[in-house]
Amino acid sequence: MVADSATLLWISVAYLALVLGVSIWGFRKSKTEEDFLAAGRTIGPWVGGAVLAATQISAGTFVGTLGRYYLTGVSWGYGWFGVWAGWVVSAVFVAPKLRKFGALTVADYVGTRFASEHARTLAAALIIVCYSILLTAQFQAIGEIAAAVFGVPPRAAMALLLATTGFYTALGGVRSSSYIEFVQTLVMILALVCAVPVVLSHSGGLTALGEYVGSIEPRVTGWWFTWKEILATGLAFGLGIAAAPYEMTRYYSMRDVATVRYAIGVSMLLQVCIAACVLTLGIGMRGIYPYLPSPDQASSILASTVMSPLLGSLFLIAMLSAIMSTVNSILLVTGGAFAHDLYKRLVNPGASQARLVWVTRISIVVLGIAPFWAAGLKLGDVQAIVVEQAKFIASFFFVPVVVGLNWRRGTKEGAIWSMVVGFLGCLAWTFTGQHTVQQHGIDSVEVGVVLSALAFVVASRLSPPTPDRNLRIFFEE
Amino acid sequence: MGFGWNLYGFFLAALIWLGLYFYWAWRAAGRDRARERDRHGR
Repeated sequence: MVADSATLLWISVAYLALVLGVSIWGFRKSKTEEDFLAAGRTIGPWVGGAVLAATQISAGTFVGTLGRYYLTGVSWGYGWFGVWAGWVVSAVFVAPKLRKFGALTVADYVGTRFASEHARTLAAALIIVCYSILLTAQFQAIGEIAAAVFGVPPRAAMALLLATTGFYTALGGVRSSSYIEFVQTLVMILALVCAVPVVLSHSGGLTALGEYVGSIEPRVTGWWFTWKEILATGLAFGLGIAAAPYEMTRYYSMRDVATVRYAIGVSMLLQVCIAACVLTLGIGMRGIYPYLPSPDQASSILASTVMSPLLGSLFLIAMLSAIMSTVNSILLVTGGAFAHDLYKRLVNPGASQARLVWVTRISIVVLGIAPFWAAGLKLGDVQAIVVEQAKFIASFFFVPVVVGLNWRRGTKEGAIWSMVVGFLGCLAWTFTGQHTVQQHGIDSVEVGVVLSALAFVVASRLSPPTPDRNLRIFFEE
Repeated sequence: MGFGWNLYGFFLAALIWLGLYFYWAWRAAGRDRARERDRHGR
């Protein structure tokens, strides 16, 4: 069992020592808010691409997505094209303008573009709430993995995750986090690429695997989902990615607009590698263990029984990396939103740079504690929480970001109403039990985004235009 | 009964997607450089 292996201990120690070293370097380099929240605008396309990929790839990918492939097979993979379509929308309509603007937080954009401190505060508050829920899912995931693989109490694993990730995020900010996430992405890719030949050799090769799995359940090698279901899922993921605050804040840290575009391409390249490997591993595990009680067990059984101690340890570290990188990005966004958009604007406008950096650090730690507590309550399964919060963020944020950056006539009234109506529309559709594709063919994110767009257009048309000085940076051409 | 075109089609479509994206990013970077040159030339 990999869980008993000294190999895992040594790899973990080396990994955490590397993380600590990079964090201390980041700590020494972060003197101002721009250093801490935007890495001094120094991040290049390869590190930037790895950061964007690491932020998106979470516990859901290694546990939930691999489990989905185990259960449903190839057709689930086509949902990735929705994710990548979201990235393309971001690259064409969002990222270049945000990078040119060069602020520090996403709420900065809302406040400046719509000339409204109320819109900024609302955006910051909604981001903190939704991302705290996403953080809960990440804590829950580490708790479940630790309990399944090591028999460790979930609370202990959650506390360790908060202590390590909270510490290195608060210490080094975006600069060191970016290089740590670069390493974490490499670890994820290495572990997945090494796992594929092991699983294929256990299942007799790709052709034999396809024939065997197809004989057990033909829909795994054929079409489990209809095109309508794939499109609905892809749309939900794409809308979430195109305006995801934890991805958008990273654009600010990159060197220039061209770097951001290439970084998004690098991120998609890395995601294609990860998607192909996770797909093969999920179906491969179905060939080796066709009747697991839960599809979510496929990844932990893969690491603990199919792979050698060394590769199994690497795979577990990759799962840990996926969780840590997502937690790290969430903490940077929520900590930044609290310190930069709420504390600096509402509490202490005259705060010095050094004070703001320390308030961000303290916010990062404090905002990690509430989700840590909530994770113990088990509000839902990990994959469901991840998917639902993405729908809420898309519902209140897609329109003010994507439409707001490309339609001059959008106003602060439009932005505020679109966020409120989008959020409430998604909430109402979800809690009236009408959120599943199977029941009505309309997903809650589609309801949220459409209502948000209507509110944005109507309220903007009925209110005075935004002053030109606020629009100039976004509509230069 | 085994894997069909939907598996291999996924990989092929992903490669085409990436190729088109990087071509667009490269063209966009060229346009940006030309615009910058024009701005400084004026």
